[in-house]
Amino acid sequence: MRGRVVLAWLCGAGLLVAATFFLDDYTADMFRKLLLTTTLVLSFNFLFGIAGQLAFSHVAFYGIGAYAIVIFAHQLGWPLPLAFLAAAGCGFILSLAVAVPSLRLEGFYLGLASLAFAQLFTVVTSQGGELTGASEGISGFASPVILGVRFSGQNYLFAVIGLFLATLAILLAVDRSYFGRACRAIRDNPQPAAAMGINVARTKIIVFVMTSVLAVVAGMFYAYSDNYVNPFVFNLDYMFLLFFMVVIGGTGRHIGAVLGSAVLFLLPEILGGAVGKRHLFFYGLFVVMAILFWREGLAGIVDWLKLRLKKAAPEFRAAAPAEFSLRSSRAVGGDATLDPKQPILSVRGLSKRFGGLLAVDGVDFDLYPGEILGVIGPNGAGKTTIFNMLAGAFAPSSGSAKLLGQELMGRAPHEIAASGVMRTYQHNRPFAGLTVVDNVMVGAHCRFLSHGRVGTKRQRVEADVRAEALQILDFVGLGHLANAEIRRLSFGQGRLLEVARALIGHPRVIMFDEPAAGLTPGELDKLGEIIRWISRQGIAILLIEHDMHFLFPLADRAIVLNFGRKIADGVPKAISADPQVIDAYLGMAVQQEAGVA
Amino acid sequence: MRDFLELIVSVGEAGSIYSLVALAYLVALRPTGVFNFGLGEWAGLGAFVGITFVVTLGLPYILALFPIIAIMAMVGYAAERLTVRPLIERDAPTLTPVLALLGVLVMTHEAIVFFFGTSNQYAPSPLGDGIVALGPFVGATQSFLIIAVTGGLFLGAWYFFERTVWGRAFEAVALDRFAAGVVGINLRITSALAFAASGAIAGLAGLLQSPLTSASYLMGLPLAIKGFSALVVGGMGRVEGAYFGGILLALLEKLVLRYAPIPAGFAIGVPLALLILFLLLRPNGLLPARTVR
Repeated sequence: MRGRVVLAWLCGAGLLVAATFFLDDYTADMFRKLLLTTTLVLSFNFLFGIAGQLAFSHVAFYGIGAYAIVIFAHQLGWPLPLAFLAAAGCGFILSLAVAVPSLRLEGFYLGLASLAFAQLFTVVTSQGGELTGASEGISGFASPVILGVRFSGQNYLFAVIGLFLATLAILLAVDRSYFGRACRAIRDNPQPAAAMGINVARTKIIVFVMTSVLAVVAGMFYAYSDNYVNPFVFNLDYMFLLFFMVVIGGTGRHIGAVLGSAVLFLLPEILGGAVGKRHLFFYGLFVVMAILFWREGLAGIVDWLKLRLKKAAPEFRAAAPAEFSLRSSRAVGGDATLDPKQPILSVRGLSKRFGGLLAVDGVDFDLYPGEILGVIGPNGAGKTTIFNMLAGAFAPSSGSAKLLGQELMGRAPHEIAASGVMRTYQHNRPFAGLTVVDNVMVGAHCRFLSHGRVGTKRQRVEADVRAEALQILDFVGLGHLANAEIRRLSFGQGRLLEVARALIGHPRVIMFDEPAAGLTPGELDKLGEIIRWISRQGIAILLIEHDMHFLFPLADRAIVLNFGRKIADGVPKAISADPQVIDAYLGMAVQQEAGVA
Repeated sequence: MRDFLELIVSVGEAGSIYSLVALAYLVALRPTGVFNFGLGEWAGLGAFVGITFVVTLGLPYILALFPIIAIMAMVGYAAERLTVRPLIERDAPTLTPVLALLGVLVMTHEAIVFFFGTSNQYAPSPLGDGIVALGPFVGATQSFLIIAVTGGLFLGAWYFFERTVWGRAFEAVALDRFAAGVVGINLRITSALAFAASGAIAGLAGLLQSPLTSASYLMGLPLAIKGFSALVVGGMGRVEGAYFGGILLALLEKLVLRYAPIPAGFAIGVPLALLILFLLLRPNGLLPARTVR
């Protein structure tokens, strides 16, 4: 497997290098510009397509690289390695300055800041006086000589091929790691991504800085393409072209970035004068059409060809027996060392006020290891609000929640997830752009942070987590769908996926928000088994549920909420007989039935 | 002193234009959650459509206003109907309609270049190109017209959003699209009206500005940037925020232009600096949205 990957890369590099021997001056110029553009589109695809960030600054960073290397190495006469580092450093600092203020917030703020930044870059370069050569730009500087080799002509082409392959290799490596998975998860659904332990703002900032610095480096290469830099190369038209290349190629696909860039770059050359210089109008039209009617883009054609030529990766795999092996149960289990008499989670005086509405009013409860604690009450009683506070999605107005003595309130969602509190959502919230097994693996994000961020360690954790994700999927009965896309899942299967995603995080506490809603009777039985099994591992369970036939036989204890207050707390039998509870929630009929059950 | 009074007029005039663009963003953003980066180009289009009717066709300004506003509203409506609505109704991620509108942005820009060329075009003012003195304030008649029209429009917008059923409906759709639909608010009409109004307001901003700067195919982008900076500074929750944000931005810009020893073009750094400052220190803007009652 590894040998084949190396071989593929060598073949690709060999082909690109061989091509340089058959080019005349004009086609060689086209070739290097295409390679540079494709390099830029690849990193922009990561930023926009994979991480879902709307940014208009990518071309400006490309320009910053080009200008910075020329200014440092030629205007100021610094040695080339130093100039290279200084230019990269500029890119790093400027990208941080754009990203940090705008990416801490949700919304289109990055789009705003990066558009203003790009415009400022154009103005500064075109009015920067002698340093930037103003609107004339800078020209006439010599190609660099490194170790006696002058980087012009064919040598320069080799260097650009190297840049292209290196950028592709870096982006592929990042994309195929837990980090790439986290990026896609944030793109698809930021709140559950945070609830799985991903630091959303930090991840976004890292991606922006990484891709921007890659653009800066590509820009440094661009400077020696014609030994000429001017402000009008790096304008917004070029930026929009990058957007269009990514979308037409297939948003979020590396192969799409390559194809989109090649097609849109070469099309005006092929069509020549037919559309004149205003081809961007038609590109705008294509893009609107592609967004509406052709979402998979050019990459979709590649997938179709693959499917026709050979069998692509099978979407369905044979399900293994739905029994958890000892190995994985040890992996999933809570701490055997915990004292079952000591509460793992203590909630005291938890309150939440929305404007004039007191949604949760001074709720106290304890949760013990391995306990299944039902949380019931009429709609609007504050059940989900409690979960949202415990998960860090809402800050409480007052009150505390301690996990083994450590305060959870005031911490960010990803920190709470990392400390071992996982949740599911009332409505399915999958990461729509990931396969089923990758969805589950997002839940294990924290394990990479603590055990394997880089190198072979990461690969080992990746293999372990994938194996465990498949086992958990088998266990919840979704094993045969591991490689399927999310849209193939039924509603009930989506509920079980949420359970699997929370389980792989090796939590101490799991909060299930109406997991049984909408399940078929068969799925209900399965879910009951799963929840019992989880509690046997010593994991404490909070369970919001409206179906009392499901909850009462399952729960060790239940608390009842009404208008934000806890009105009862006890074993299901006592609860179902409590007149206050019957009055507020259960009603007479349910009481009788549940009493029998 | 005279210096200062002139400064006040020019701040009022530039700030009014910025706040109009901010309002155009806000009107479309509220019910749909979609940020239309192409609004600046629509402002540019408004200026050129104005020249077409007033100069090329020779219509009296008052009469020309009707087709100009109608065309700009149609542009907004068509963008909503053809790109935004199908995507929202398909439950596509919020980014997709924004992206489709980027395609519309480029198409608008290229269409302006194709039909009106790349040279600056003179745009007449409805009140003539004279200078007038209103009490101690001296400025171009167009400047006073801009300040008056913008003031009137903001009063109208404030009344609409705060005091009318339709305005509350816009607010409700912005808060929860699904729930608003359930209680009987017509989502399609709300979104379509919002985009039509947004196009008309943006076009009006460009139309009002063009007599002072002449119309140019490049006028859209700076307006877009200043408009959204004004919006962030003022706060996206309230109509008045857009107005005060625009005025504050214009004030800082004019002060920098007058007193800082930098090339004039660098003043485009002011909106970026202000934007970053507000995102860091006061992300909800000067006037944050009122809390839920």
